[in-house]
Amino acid sequence: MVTRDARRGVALVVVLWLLVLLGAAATEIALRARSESQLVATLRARSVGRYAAESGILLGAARVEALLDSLRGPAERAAALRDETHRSPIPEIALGDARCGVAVIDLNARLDLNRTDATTLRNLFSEFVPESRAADLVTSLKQEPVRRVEELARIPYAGDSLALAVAPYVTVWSDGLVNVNSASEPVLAALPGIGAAAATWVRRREGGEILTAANGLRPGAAGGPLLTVMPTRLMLVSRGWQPGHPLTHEIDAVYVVLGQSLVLESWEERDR
Amino acid sequence: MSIRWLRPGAPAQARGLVLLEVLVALVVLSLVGLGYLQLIHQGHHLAAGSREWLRAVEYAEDGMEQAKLGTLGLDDPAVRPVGEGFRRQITTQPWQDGLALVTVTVFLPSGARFALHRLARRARTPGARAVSDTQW
Repeated sequence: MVTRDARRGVALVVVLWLLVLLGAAATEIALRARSESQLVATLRARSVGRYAAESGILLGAARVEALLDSLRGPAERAAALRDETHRSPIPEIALGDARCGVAVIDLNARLDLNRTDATTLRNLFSEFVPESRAADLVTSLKQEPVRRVEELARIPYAGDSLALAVAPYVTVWSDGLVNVNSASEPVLAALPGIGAAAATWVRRREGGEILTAANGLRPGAAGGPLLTVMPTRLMLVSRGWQPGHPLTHEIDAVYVVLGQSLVLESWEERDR
Repeated sequence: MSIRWLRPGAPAQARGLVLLEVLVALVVLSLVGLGYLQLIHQGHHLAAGSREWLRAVEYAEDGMEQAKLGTLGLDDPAVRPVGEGFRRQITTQPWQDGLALVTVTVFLPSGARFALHRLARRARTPGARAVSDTQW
């Protein structure tokens, strides 16, 4: 039999349990609502960032095409494109409440990991690791082509540190030609038959000289990559974002330079 | 009700204690319960707002994609209803380097607005603002 003393306090205990249950339900509802709200805010920022990044690509392409259109002589165009690709990224552009920034990269200033011959690649890697390891790495690379530069780190004998070190000098989107007017010294030094002359070339370029076939360049000398004096592949890297939100949308667009116009070759998007 | 649980001969002090306990329980339940209800209401309000913003993003993206395809007029800055109380406006204004800035603005039923901006190429014909003159 339940006594009066045993019943005393039951009401409070029942109420406290009810409050615990209600509290759990209310907290769950509030957390889900907040999570949903954050998700929608991210979607909004992604949408704003995506169209801003697309605008950046269009702006960059329009600038390069205007440049190609305005200059007729090959030497002038080579100089203008070299300046454009060496210039700092186009500063932050405001499009309403969206922002974007774009950079133009000359892919012919880099060695293509899949199209460049084994000797040239081995020369480049040898600038960072012992020759035997560079040779093994090139053998692995030729057996297992990569689709992204980041995949280089997963190739046997490569590793993260080497992949990071060679990243500014390699690409997977080039056509295999090397632009002697924009390639960096390590890239030029890796070309068969050039080697030590690379430093001289870089000094001449820094003096404002534009290298052409008349400068004694021999395309494809000693079985290396074919040389060019102006870019044939350009990559436009554009980032768009909404101020106040950490999400950034990036687009990497590769264009083929055909006369005075750019033709889209590939398009990749990602959120960062 | 609690008083009926007591024996008829129970002391008046004990009966009073049980009544007091029930009253205290009711007050606590009311106060804390009201706080929880407010929290739930806010959560519901937040969720409804999120759904509304999601629809706004969808309408804005839809407008921008249709503008890209040329199926929406860019030379008509009128605000048009798109359903569920949402309204949409598409405007273009000249930008630099032969480009135009296309803005799709969606007005939410709550009075807020969401805008998407994108550059598009403008035709070289002076003064032209029609859809066919804006290339993506």
